[in-house]
Amino acid sequence: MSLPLKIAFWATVAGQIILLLAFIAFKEDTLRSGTSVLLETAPVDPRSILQGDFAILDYKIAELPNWAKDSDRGEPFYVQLYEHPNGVWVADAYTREEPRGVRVYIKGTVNDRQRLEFGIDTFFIPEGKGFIIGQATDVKVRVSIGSSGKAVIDDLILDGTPFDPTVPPKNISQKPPPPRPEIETPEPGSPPVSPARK
Amino acid sequence: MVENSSNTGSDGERFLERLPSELARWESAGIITAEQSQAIRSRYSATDQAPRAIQAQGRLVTALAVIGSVLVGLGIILFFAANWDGIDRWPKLAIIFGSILTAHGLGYYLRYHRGYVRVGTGMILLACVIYGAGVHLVGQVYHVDVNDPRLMLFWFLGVAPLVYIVKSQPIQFLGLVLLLLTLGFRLPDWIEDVNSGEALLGASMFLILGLLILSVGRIKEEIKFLRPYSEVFQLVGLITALGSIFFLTFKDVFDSLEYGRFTRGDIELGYQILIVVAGVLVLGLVTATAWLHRRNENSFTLVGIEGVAIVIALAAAYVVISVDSETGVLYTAVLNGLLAFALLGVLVSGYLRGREAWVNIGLAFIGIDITARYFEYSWDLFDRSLIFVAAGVILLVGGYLVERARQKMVERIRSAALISERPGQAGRSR
Repeated sequence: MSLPLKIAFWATVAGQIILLLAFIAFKEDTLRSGTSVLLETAPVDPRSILQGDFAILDYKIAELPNWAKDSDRGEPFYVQLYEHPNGVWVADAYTREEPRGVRVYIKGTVNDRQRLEFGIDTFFIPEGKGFIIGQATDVKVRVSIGSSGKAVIDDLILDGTPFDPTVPPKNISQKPPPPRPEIETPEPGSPPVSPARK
Repeated sequence: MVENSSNTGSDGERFLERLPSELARWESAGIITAEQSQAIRSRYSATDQAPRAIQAQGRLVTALAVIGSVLVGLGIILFFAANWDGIDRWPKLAIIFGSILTAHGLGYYLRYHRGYVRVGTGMILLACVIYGAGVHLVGQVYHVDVNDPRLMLFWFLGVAPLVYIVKSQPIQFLGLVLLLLTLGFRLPDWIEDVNSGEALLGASMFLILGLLILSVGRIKEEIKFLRPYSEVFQLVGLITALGSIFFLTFKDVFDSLEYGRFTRGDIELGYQILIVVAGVLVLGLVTATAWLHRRNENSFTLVGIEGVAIVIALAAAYVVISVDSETGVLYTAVLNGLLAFALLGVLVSGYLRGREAWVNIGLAFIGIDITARYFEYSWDLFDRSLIFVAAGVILLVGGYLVERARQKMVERIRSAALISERPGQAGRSR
C-alpha cells in the first residue's frame, strides 16, 4: 500500500471517530448549556410502546392552535415556552418565524396528524420494560433546549420520579395483572354458544 | 496498492480472470495484433492463471470472511442492545470507539502486512459495520429518532472514502447500499408535502439513481485505474434500476392515486436538484462512454444501443415524476413493455459481453416478473387453491426453462472465452 493510500486509510478511520465525537459533542453541548425544561407528554398509544424498545412521545405543546390547524405537513413552527408555577413548561405562543428576544423556544415541524414533532419524540427503553411507562399516570420529559430551539431529551419522569427500568413507579402495583376470564361474554342478542360446539 | 502490480491477491486474480476477454477486445478494437496478444498471454505462465477450482476457493474464502464479518457485526450490535442499560454512557462510547479501532487495525494488519487480503478485507468490512452500529447506538444514547436521515448519512460518509481506498468489492457494495439508504431515508422529508403518489416519486428516484450508478460503473470500465471499481457499480446500478422499473409495473401503484390523478403539494428543492443533476450526469456519462468507443464500429454500436436503452429508462422516470395522467393503465402498459425490453437488453448485453452475472440477473428478474404478474392478475379471478397449485406448476416449469436457458447462455459465454484464448481466433466469437 502506497504512503498516500496509507494516510488516506487512517484519515478515514480518524474521520469516523471524529464524526462520532462531533455528534456526541453537539448533543452534550445542548444537554450542558441548554435550558432545562420539563414538558408534559403522553405515550401516543399505550399499546404501541411494547412494539419494540422505544416509546413514542406526544407532547402537550405539540397541539397546534386553531389558526394553524390547516398547516402543510413539514412546515416549521416555533413554540415559545414559559414555566408554569408547578414547574412544567407550557406553550406561550406559536410562530412560523424564529422568535427574537425570547429566552426559551423550541422548534417543531407539522406531522401528518397535524401535530408538531420536535425531534425528541422517541425515548429508548430496555427490552420488555415498556409496561412501566404504559402504567404510569403522569409522564413528563426533562429536555435541554439549545439557543436555536433544538432540543435533546435528558430524562423521562414517571409519576415524579426519573425513569429507572429496575424500579417501577411508586403508585404501580408490583403484582401482575389478574388473568383474563377465558369465556367471553356473549354480545346482546347473539345466540348462546353450546359447550359441545366449543 | 501493492497487489496491483502482482498476480496475487484479489485484484491479481480478477486481472487474470479478465485477461483473455480483455485481450480479445483489444484485438477486435485494433489496439494490439494477434501476435502481441499471444505474447502477452505467454507472459503469464500457466501457474499464474489460476484454475477454476482455485478461483472458486478464493471466492469461498471471500464469502466466508464477509459472512463472518456480518455475523460478528450482528453479534456485537445485539450484545450492545441487550446490555445497553447496564452500561454507563461513557463506557458505552469507549466500547464503540475501541471496537472500531481494533477491527480497522486488525484488518489493516492482515490485509497489508500479512497478505491475508480476503480475511483482512472482511475485518475492515466488520469495522465499517461496527461504525454504523456505533452511529445508531450513539443516536440511541441521545434518543435520536430511529428514522432520522442523519444517522444513515453519517454511516455513509464514514464508509464512502474506503470504497476507493480499499479495493474491495464487499466494501464497494456496502458503500453503494448506504448511499441508496441515505437518500431513501431522506426521501420522506423531501416529499412530505405530497399528498399522493409518494411511491411513484420514490421508485422514480431510485430508477434514476440506479441508472447513474450503472453509468458510473460503465465508464469506470473504460478507464484503467478505475476498472477495479466498475463491476460492483454496474451490478448494483442494474439491480436498482430493474427493481425500480419492476415496482412501477404494478397497476395498484398507480391506482393508489386519488381518482387516477396526482394530487401533489410542493416537492422540496433537494429532490428536484437530485433528480436533475443525476439525470444530466447519466446523459453525460452515456455520451462519454460511447465517445470512448468511437474508433471501433462494433463496440460503438453495442455501447450506443446500451446508452439509448439507459436514456429511454431515464426518460420514463421523468415522465412518471412530471406528467399527470387521467388513468394509470397507460403507465402500467408502457412500463411493463419497458421492463420486458430492459430485461431482453440485459440478456443480450450480458451474452455479447460475456458477463454471466448480467445473464443471471436478467433471468432472475424474468422469473420474478412472471410470478408477480401471475399473482397480480389471477388473484381475483380463480379459486385460491387452484392459484397456488398452478403457481407451483408455473414455478417448476419456469424454473426448469430458465435454468436451461441460463446454462446454455453461460456455456456459450465460457466457450467464447476459451476460443478467444486461442491465437489468431480471438474476437471471432463476438
